[in-house]
Amino acid sequence: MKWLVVAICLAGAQGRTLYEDPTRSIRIYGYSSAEGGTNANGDFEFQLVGNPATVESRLQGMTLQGSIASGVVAPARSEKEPAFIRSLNVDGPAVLTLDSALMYQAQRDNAARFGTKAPEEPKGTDTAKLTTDRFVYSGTGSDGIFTIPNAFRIEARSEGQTPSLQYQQTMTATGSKATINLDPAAISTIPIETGTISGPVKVHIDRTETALGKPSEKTIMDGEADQVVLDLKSERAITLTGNVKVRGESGLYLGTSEGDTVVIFLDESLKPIRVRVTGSPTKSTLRDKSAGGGGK
Amino acid sequence: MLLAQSVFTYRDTKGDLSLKSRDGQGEMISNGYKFILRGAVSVTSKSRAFTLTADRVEATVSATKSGESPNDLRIAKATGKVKLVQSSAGQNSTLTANSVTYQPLGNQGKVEASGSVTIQNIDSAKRESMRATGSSGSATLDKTAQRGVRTAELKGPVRVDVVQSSKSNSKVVFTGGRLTLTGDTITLSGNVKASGSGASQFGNLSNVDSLTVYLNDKGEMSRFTFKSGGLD
Repeated sequence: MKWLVVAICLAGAQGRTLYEDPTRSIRIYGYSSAEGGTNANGDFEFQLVGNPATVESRLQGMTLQGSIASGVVAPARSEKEPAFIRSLNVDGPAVLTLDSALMYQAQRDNAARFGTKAPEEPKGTDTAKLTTDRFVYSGTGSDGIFTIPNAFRIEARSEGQTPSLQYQQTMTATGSKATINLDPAAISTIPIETGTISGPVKVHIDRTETALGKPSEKTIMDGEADQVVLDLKSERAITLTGNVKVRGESGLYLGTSEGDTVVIFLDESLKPIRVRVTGSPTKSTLRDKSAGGGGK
Repeated sequence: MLLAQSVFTYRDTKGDLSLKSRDGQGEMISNGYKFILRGAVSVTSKSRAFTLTADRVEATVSATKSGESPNDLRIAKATGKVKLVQSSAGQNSTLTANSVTYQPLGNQGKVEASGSVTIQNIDSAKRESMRATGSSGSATLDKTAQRGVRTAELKGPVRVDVVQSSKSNSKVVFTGGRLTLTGDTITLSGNVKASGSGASQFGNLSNVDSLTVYLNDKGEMSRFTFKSGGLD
């Protein structure tokens, strides 16, 4: 009975549902008022006011919230062309949440619905929350671009395990504007493919990992730059340029580095594994504990 | 005049209006007749381009011109499996109900209907492009309208099934408290919901206060608009 009450309260907290596509990937809810309709293409257009109005794209693990939102959803054309958000403007406070667990569950549901093979359960989970006053999203069935025109903050969390260790990592970043490209096939369970963040940018990474039979090891890194470029698809690297400062407080990196460009290379679990500092002049007291890491 | 025949038929001299039934009775009135017809009743008016069929019909007919044989309906009250087919230059419309009262109003016909009311638009290929149902309602029939029904109001719960113009083998189903049909639009109000049907991948829309469906020349849904809450 207690669980029933909790479930009812949770359902009520989400607010009433306005729209849901046949695969239940796209859901619009939590609005206080709405207008919209279909256009000549059969797309579903909407304008929402809410506190917050919420648009969810489960197959992308993506939840978008704001006090005002307007957008277009392309309904599924066939089993192989699921519904997707074609465009979305969100005004704030605007919040974007990426959740790998939500995405995985939607992929499983879709596989069950269409009788296809379910994806392998990921060994870790990733969440990211971006808060700002406004963002614009433009997407297709396979990718999407976020444009964040004003100051924002990202809080990301990863946790999971490999055959030899367990890890937890948090990352916070602030910037004055950004463009982020999404790709569901990106290497991370968060579908961020590439991105450009304009500064001043501040990044803080805090990671704890525990290997079997060994004490936990903590890595703390802080970075500042005029611009940060994310590439989680091909290079798997974070590139900081312009007035760059990187400081490692514990763990793999100790000391500070300053230069024109600093590249932080990541492994598949988004763990910083190597730092390359370039520029003239560069100042570095960084002690890179990883093999092949670079100083100045 | 008492009629007790196996098949009753009335037809005016020009063959414009005809009434048929298995049995019935009638009486002469000023400038016309009053009939009470039972069993497989059909009333056909060529000038109004409509046919009414029902289990029972009380009809008053009169002459449109003095001195001619009665060739037009003044009123028809039909009960039991009532079906009214109104032809037009574009699509034909069919109205079915348990009970219908039909009254001419100029060149148009005013209908009051109750009990499982259904209005269908049928295209030239005899395909249903739209079906609206309600518990009661009214309609104005007009052979000069693009579709046989010029206007209609249905009270609920109401349901509209309409073909999507982008996909001929798919429909969207709308439900609500009441609906108004005016030519190329159908407006539903009161807890309106919409859902895809057949090959439609539209999905589900719910918690809507009012919704208007726009029909194209073929009577298919070209688009719809909705409103919920107090957005200005």
